[in-house]
Amino acid sequence: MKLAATVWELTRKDLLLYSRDRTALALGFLLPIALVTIFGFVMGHMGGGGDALPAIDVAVVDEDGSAASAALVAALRGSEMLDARFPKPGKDGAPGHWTREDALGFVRNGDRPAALVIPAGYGAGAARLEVLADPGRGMEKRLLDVALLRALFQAGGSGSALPDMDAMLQQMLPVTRTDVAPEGRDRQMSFQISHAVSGMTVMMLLFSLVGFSRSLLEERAQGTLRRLLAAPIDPRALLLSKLASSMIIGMALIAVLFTFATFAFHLDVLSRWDTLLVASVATALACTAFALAIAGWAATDKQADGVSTLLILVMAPLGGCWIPLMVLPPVVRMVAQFTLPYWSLTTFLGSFWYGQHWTEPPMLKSLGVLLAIAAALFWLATVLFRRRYLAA
Amino acid sequence: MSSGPRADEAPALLAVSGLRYAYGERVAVDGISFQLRPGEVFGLLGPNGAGKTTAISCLCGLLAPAAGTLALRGEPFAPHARPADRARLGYVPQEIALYEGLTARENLRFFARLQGTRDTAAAVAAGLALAGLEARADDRVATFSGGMKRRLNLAAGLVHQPEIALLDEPTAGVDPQSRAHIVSAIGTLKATGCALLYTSHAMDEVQRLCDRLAIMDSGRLIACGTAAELAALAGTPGADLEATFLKLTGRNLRDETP
Repeated sequence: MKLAATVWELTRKDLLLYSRDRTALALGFLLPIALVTIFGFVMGHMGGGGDALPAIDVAVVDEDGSAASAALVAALRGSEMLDARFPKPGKDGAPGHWTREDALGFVRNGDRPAALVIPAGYGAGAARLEVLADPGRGMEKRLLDVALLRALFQAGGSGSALPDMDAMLQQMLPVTRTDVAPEGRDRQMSFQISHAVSGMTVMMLLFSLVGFSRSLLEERAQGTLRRLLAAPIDPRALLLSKLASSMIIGMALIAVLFTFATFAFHLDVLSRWDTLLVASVATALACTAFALAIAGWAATDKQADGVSTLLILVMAPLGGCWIPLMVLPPVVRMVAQFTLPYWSLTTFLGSFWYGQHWTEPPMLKSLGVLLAIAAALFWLATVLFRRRYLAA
Repeated sequence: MSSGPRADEAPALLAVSGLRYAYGERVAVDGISFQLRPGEVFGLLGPNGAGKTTAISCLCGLLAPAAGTLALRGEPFAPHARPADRARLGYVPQEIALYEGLTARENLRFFARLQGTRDTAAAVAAGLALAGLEARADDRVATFSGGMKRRLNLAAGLVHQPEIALLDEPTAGVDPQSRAHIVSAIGTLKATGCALLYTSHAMDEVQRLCDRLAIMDSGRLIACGTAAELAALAGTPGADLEATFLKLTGRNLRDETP
């Protein structure tokens, strides 16, 4: 029997078995959809969605009670950057009251990352505002500083028609701003969602394909592999058929997830479909080769499960699947480049967000790295497979 | 013991000479030699860990022998190296090596195609008849009883009508009805001229089915001949095969080394 025909027979059998395994189908497709939904929703709505920063939860204690403090409180209430909290009024409608100790307690207990105390004498210019903040929550402290500056600026105007701070900055800075975005980018699509969908797709692809490639170990445990190896077929067909069936399942998973994301999150799949197809093939190939290397290495199902879970859970966040790498330290961004998910993400985001065509140099570089990873891992899988399974 | 002309009168179909295999330092098969003739059922007996499965693995190409030669109809035979040689063998493993998510028909069709069978439909029909599963052909194997699976396991190994069948404990753990069916199927195969190498721990079954027997112990072939010849060799003429076997291999327990 010719190699191609044998590969087809084996692939057909694998796909038939996979399609009849309801648990595998549910884990392989429904779970990824659920995760993409959750991550897409969470990332897409962080800070109110779009390019807004997350609102900082801050407790405000007004010990001054002056007109100036009232103006500041009003500005804080209206700030989009802050989720300013005030004491609730009593049942009789009397204003609520928080003390400085209450504010300290909020921060100490972790109820709020920071508190703002407007001390007595603030309105008369005899006291400065006081910020109580957890020193470990630096990002929130910095955001609070900016929000406070804006609120003070607004309060200083006392309701007069002063321009907002962004407009002032625009006027003060001697720059001309140009928005750089690919033509036709769907305005409803956000970077966070594109990133979340791409990241979860890569991670779930790795999990699903490792799960599928473990059928090699199952075949060995059940004895069917002995029967296949005793058949008059080229042993290379066994690994090639796993590659083929895994690729088909991987491409199907990518198609399902991206189609889902198109409807759920306005992900722009169609405008760059050719680039997306090339990126998907390269990613599916690399993930398949990773899965086959695990299956070739592992002696048991448990070994494959443990090692693959560990590797994926290290590679996925490190490669930027969970949160965008731009918010991580430079050393992590450097290490990320040694992971498979990083390059997959680069190709998907290049397609979705940056609108790059697969023939452009940045995309060619990412695709080339992915294919090199796939080739290296498939070579490793072949060596391990020969060592473990073939006649010795 | 089956009746009919003595099989050793026919020329050898498969000649095994000085076959040796070792797992690292541990020698599992130590220079065994025997011959299989057309239409013969040849029993390979031995306690657990004697090397029977390793010997069969060498014969069907799963393992490459460290030493020794194989010849089929006088021609060099290398199933571990040449897929075409493997096509002349039928291998029925000890495990029930079937795809439970596929139906009986799909399993047989799959294995028939892998074996390069031209008329797949006819081969599948013959396989279903051999297994006695025509009525359940389109049911998934997962729904079958142990006996049905065993019968299908046998049919899957023989679906391409090989010249030689290597049957590794094909009746292990089955009910009497399925055992009788499998034994009957083996008789049918024998009548077609297929040579069968058969391992089993069911001594009565072996005595009834096999024309000749070889007894292995610790990787070596310690006796070979008809049941009567083995009994004479053991100094227990007229004894049944189990008594002869215990006399030749001893009563010590054989715990397999890992």
